[in-house]
This record gives sequence, C-alpha cells and structure tokens, in this order.
Amino acid sequence: VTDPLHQMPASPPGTDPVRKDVARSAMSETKWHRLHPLSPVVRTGRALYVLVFLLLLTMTREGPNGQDSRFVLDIAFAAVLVVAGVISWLVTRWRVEEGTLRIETGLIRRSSQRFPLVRLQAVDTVRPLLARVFGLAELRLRMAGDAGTSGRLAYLTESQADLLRARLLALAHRIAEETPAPPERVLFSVPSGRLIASILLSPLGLSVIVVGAVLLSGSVMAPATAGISVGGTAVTIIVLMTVLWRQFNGDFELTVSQAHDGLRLRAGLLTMNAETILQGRVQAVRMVEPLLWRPLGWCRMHVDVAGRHRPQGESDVEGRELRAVLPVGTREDARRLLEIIMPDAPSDRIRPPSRARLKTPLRYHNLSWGRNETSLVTTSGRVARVTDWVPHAKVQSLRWVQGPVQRRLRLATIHVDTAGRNVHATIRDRDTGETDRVLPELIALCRAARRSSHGTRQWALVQPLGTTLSTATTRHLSVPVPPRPDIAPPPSAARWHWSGLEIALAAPLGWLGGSWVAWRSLGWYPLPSAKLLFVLGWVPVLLVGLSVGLARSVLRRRTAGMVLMAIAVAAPMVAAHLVPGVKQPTQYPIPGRPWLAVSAAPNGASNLYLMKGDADHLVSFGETPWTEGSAALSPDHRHIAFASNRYGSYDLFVMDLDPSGNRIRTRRLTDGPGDESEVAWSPDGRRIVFTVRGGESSTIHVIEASGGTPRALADNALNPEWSPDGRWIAYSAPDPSDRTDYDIWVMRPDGSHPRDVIDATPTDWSPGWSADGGRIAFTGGRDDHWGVYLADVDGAGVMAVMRGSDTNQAFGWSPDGSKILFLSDRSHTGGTFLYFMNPDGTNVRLALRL
Amino acid sequence: VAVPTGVVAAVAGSVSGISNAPSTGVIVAACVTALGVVVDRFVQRRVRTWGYCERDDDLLVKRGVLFSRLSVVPYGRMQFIDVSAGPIERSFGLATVRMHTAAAATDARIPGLSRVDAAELRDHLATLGESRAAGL
Repeated sequence: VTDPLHQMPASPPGTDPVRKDVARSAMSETKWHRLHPLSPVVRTGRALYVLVFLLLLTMTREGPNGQDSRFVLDIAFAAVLVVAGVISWLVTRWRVEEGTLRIETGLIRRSSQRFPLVRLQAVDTVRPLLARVFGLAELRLRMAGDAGTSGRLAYLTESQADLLRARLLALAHRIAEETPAPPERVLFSVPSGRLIASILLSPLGLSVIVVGAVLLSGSVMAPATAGISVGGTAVTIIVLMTVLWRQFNGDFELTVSQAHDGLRLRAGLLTMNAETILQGRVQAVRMVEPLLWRPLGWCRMHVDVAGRHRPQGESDVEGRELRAVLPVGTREDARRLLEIIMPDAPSDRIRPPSRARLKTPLRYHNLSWGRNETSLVTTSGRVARVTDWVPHAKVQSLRWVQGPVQRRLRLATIHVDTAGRNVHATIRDRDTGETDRVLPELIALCRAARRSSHGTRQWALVQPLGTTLSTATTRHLSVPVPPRPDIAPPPSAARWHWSGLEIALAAPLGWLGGSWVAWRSLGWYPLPSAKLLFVLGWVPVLLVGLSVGLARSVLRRRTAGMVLMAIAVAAPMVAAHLVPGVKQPTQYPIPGRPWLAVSAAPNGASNLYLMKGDADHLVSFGETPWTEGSAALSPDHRHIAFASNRYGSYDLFVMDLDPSGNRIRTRRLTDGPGDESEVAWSPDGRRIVFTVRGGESSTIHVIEASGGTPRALADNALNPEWSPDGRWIAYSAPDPSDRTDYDIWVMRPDGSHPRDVIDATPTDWSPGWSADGGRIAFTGGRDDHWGVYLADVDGAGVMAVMRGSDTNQAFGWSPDGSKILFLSDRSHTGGTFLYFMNPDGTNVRLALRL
Repeated sequence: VAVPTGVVAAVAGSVSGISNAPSTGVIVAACVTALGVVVDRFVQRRVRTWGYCERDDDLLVKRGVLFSRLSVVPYGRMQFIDVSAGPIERSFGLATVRMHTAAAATDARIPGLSRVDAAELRDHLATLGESRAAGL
C-alpha cells in the first residue's frame, strides 16, 4: 500500500545510519548547497531523448560531404545546451537559515527567493522518470497565500530530499527535527484494471478503439493501402495515444491518504507525483457519472483547488486545475471521500418543476439541487450526470439569469461562481418564485460563511504526536487523525532493491544480449537502414522506460530484475519475427553441395571462409585486420589460394587444409611489389593462374602451386579462369581496336593463341567455364549496370541471364553444371551475397549471406 | 447611435449611388437609416435596464432585455477593479467599471458612467473590498 520510496518521514529516512549521517552533514545550516549535478539533464526531460536520437541519426547517416557542416552544427548546438545546463547548475544554490529557505539562481539576472518556513503549507515530492532512473527527486514547497507561490528544488538525491522535507516540515511546525510526522491513513487506491477499463470506456478511449479497429480491418481487407491509411492517421493516433497515456500515467495507482494537513495523492507509473490537497483549499467538488460507466456503478470525482501546481510545474502561479481525487470508483467510494473533503454536504435535493422539461428535455431528469447551512449541491448534465458541491464560504459571486424561454415558463437559473474556470455550479431552471426566495437566502448564507471563516487561517496544524506547539495557531481539524497508524511497516533494510542505475543499465544490456542471441540463432541482424534505426533507437527507450516503471513501482522485488531481463532478452527475438526486413531469408544449399572458398567482410576487413556444401557448414579461418580476398579452392579441396595484403602489398598465399577442411598452414608464394588477385587453379591442381596489378597495367601470371617463379602469360589482361579440360584459359582484355571495350578472350595455358571470343557488351569480364567447357558465364554491362551473361565458347548465343537495376556479378558454376552462381545486392540490405540460379535466369536462390 | 447611423447611411448611400444609379443610393441610405432607428430602440432599452446597486455587503449589477441577468458580487470577493475607456467612450467622457473575482465566470461590469463617477465608484468599491477581504 505504501510506497517506500515515497515514504514520508514517518519512518526514519534512510535506515542505513551511515548514509543518513552523510546526508545530514551535507545539509548543515549556514552552508550553501548545490543541487545534484545531474539536475540539468533530468530537467531537459523528454527533449533529451529526442536530442540523443537526432544525434544518433545524424552520426550514422552517411550522406554527401555537404552534410558535414550540418553535423557540426548539431554538435555545436548540443554543446551549447550542455554548457548552459552546467552554468545553470553552478549558479543555483540553496540554504536553510533562521527558519527560512533561500534559493538563489540565475547568472545574469540573479534572483534570490526566500521562503519563510512558518508559512509553509506542504512539501510535495515529484519524481519524473529520468529522475527516478538517477535516484533523484524534486521538492516543491507550497506556501500559504492566495497566489500559491512555490519554491522548487530540482533535483536532490532521494535521501537528501526525504531528510530536507522532514527538516523543513519540522521547522515549519516548530518541533524538534527528530519528531516523526503524524502518520497518514490510506483511504483507498485505484485498481489498475479498473482504471484501464474506465479509460477505454471514456469517449476518448472508445474513439481510439474505433480508429484502431477500422485501421486493422482496413489493413486486413486491403493490405496494399494499409501503409497509406496508417501513415495518414499516424499523427492522430500519436496524439490520441499521448493523451491516453497521460491520463493513465497521471492516475496510475492513485493512492489517496489522509494526512494531518489534508489529502495526500500519489500517482504515476513513470512520472511519480505526490501532492497534497490542503484542507480548506478545496473550492468545489465535482462528481461525474458518464453514461457508459453508469451500468458499472462507477463515477469520477474531482476537486477544484485554487493555487494547485500545474503537472509540469512550469507555470506556478496560475495553476488552478481540477484534480481527480477519484479517477474511477464506486459511488460508495465517492461518498466516503466526500465525507472527508466536505464533512457536512447537503443530503436532500429538490427537483425542478416539471415544466422545466419543455426547456431542457435532455437535462431534466438530471436536474436537482439542495443546500444546508454550509454548502450547496447541484446536479446537471445531458449525458453524463454532473454533481457539484460548493461550500458557501467559497462562493465568489452569484448570478441570476432568465432567458426568453424561461420567462415564458416562469423559470430562472442561478449560477454559483467559484474560483477558477473549471467548476461553476448551476441551479438550473427553477420556478421564479423559488429563485426570488432562494437568492437572498444564498446571499445571506454566503455572507455568514465568509464571516465565520474570516480572520482564521484556512490551513490546519495538528499537534504531532504528543509534542506541544509553541505557537497559538493550533487549528481545528475536521477529520481526526487516527490514534494508531494503520500503514504498513516500513520495508526492512534487508529487502533488496534494484537501484535506478542498475535498472537503467540492465535493460539495454539485456537488449544487447538478446540481440546477439537473436542474431546468432535466428539470423536476425541489424540493418543500416533508417527504419531499423528507428526501431533500434526507440524500442530500447520504451523498453527501459516501461521496465523501470514496472520494476520500481509494481514489482519492487528481486523478480523485477528477472522480468526485466526476460523482456529485454525476448524482445529482439520477437522483433526478429515481427519487424519486416529484419528476418533473414532462408539460405539454400547449392545443388551438388560443392565446397567453395569465399572471401567476405561481414565485420570490416575481408576474410576467408570455406563453405562445405551449404551455409550451415561454414568454416571461418579467423578474423584478421588485413584483407584476404580472391579465394580459390583447389580441385582436390586441400588448398586455398588467396591474395592478402598481410605484408603491405597484395601477395599470393596458399593455405593447406586437412581432409575435413581445417587449416594446417599458410604459405606465401609471391612477394613482388605488384598486387596479386583473381586467383584460379588449373584442373589438375598443380598450377595457379592470377593477375598482378602494378601501376596502370595488369598482367596474367602463372605459378606452380608448390612454389617457384611466376611467369607472365598475357599483358593488359585480367580475370583468368582455367577451362575444365585444362586446355584453355579464359580471361578478359580490351578489344585491340577499342581500349575501353573489354571482351572475353581465351588463350593456351602457355600464353599462346590469344583469341577474342565474346564481345557482348561494352565491358565483359569475369568469365566462368561451365562444367562441360562449352559455355562461359560472365559479367557484362556498362559502368553502372552489371548483369550476368552467358555465351558459347565461340562467342555465339549471347544471352542476358540476370539483368536489372541490381548489381549482379557472375561467380561461377555449380559442379554439376546446372546452376550459375552469382553475387548480387538484390536483397537491398546493404550487402552483396551469393546466389544461384538456373542458366536461363529462373529459380534464384540465396546460397550464402555473410 | 444617431450619429454613427447618419454617417454610415451617408457613406453607404453615396458609395452605392456612385457605383450604381443615384436612386439605388437613396434606397440604401433609407434602409440603413431605418435599421439604425431599430437598433437605436434596442440599445436604448438595453441601456435603460442596466443598473447597479451598492448594498452593505455586496454589489448588485442588473442588465439585459432578452436575457435578464442579476449578478451579486460580494465586496469581500473582489480581487481587483478596473476602469477602462475606449476611444468612443472617451470622446463622450464615459468609462466602464469592471469587477473581477477569482471566478472567471463573474461578469459584473457597469458601462457608461461618467469618468468622475467611475473613479469614485472604483475607489469606493476598493475600500469596501479591502475592509471585507476574505481568503480564497
């Protein structure tokens, strides 16, 4: 029932004596204190999330160079904010001296506020989400006086705030600091289930349900337009959800308890709010029974309090507002509450004359009013029944009004105005004779009520548990404080809590861990796209928020941590299934299950992998900081030839493997200044052909696999590929007549008989022999459009197999010759992956995604 | 009311007379004048019903023909009183006294007082308000 974090000093604050002493010594008199250093951060509140998100977005976006200035601007903006925050923290200080709290603030316009503690009425504690994460709290001082002036100390640590609050109250009541404050009696608290039901049954909640249902059915029936309809109503939905959330958060677990100075309300899931409604400050009470709630016997009760703070606490003076002391409750709850707020509310009510039905047919059945010596009650409302109670002492003015219809019917209305603009009771449509009689009576009653309360202070101090008050201002108190506290005992120190920081750290860590598990087990992985950034950016924030709220206000036990971690771990796995474009497509084994040596760069530098049949049997040879590329597996599967820049320029290496594909050792074959690449084995596995690039030229070389001196075969040529029968080497080289037109050539393995065989597109390269040696698949196209082409060895029958806006490159053939392997970025996820397809371009399947 | 009616009638008549036939202008001017006379009757009735009464503890303000209203404002509830005079009111030496309480719904104002009367009423009400002030 009681919130230990919000425990008023009834229990000794800080059961840990050391912590208490530290906090106390930090609050000794005659010393200036600063607020907590994190205060500016907490004060920026929600803006902070947005700022961080925007910054993240800017940093990860890789745009043209022109955007750098924008980025610098963002950083500068953030820096200015940070400096401003630090300065505001530096110049704000407070101290308690001679029964006064002084708060000084401001750098240029220095302001010093003094709060004489004898005029202190109440100290409220407010803890927004961020503050709770850091274990901070804000103290709001409410002073006597019509304007409801306020002092804010935002933010102090929780223990400091508790101690200071106790101290201020003790000073205000002029009692010893150690005296425990009078206990509070918890009247009731609102069950969460009922609150949710009541919000859903409100007009706003119903509209949200309807909008949601329409959108959902629309999406189901016409999935194509779902995006448009959801996008179009996104703003509405967001606004509705925000309002609903505010309502929910503001009233979540609202607990009303009776304190010595009035009613104390505590509520909030994420932002915790504690406030006090002072006895005698209540201007009016309003009970609303909406039509939809009536079958359930529910009602809502507000009090109108002059000088109440706005929820945000930004505008302190004009904070007159209705406060729902009972967001939803039974009539019995309302009656009990009313007895406490207004002990002698009139009980009997008079109905209006039946001819009033002609003027207000809809309202008639709700109209009535009643009064006694201290207050009056009116009911009204067309759909919802609204009952207002106003004490005579709080009436500001009376108005008698008669319209033309009313004159015909001999009716009149008396308006009873109270402070503010929220409630004004209306004695509607009464007989003129009655109003003529009642108006002077009411005037007299109000005058009498004003007189009796005149000169007495409206707020009460009760004798706190046996101590005597030194002042003579002891006041009456309409509700006696119960002699024994029936609040729960304070939590023992042994009970284990998650501190805010732990939770704040645990949730993202859990998220990261969950992401890693999901990536490993489900193939889910982060995509560098804006949509995903949004998901990755916001889901954790929401998650942290919800988790912290749950952990600290609902469960508040060891299980909180467990639940929290479970949610954080499970969420990415669920997301991997739900978020479109995140789930990895299935990888299919290439027919014949060939072993392939590939080089890929999933995490930075390109490294070697051996795919033994399919993607599930992938051997990594370790991640290296240097680049290893152009991998080629020897025909006997015992060696991988590759190029690496391990020693500066690219050189040719051979890795020897055991029969199951594990590395035995790595040998270096060449060490020239040129860059080796594009490695291919001879079918007998004894020779390796490769390209050496140096300066502008590229030359095809051949070398014995066991080592030796490379021998040049062809100048100005690249992409060598040995034919399956070993009699030819296909390669790409420019057309003699046009140096920019690369064609596919073949030559004998000793470099003789070069022949230009295929000229399909302006640039043809990367030939790959089919298993029977009859056809060559190659990459062709212009500079920006690459596709996979197929032609006979003599250049006839050229066919575009895979062409389109994606970049496709021929990679080779499956061993049985039934499929063409190719590399493509067709998944549009920012990577180039290995696919295979039929030689006619059909049946494209993903083979390996790294 | 007579003066603005005459001005408006003349302006409307001459404008429509210039742009259309002169007879149209005459008709428009006549119509405007007739309208002004009707409005004048209403305004006169409205002004006649407007009244206030200072009692021991409160101020009564009565007004309205179609909707008759009677406001009761206790002196002790007055938060402040302001006296305002627009350009037309100033040209006739008049002023409006308006009483404010903590309630937004209170609409007690007394227009058409001479400036001296208005100042006197304001001071008088302010003294009464001070002596009987009550907290919220």
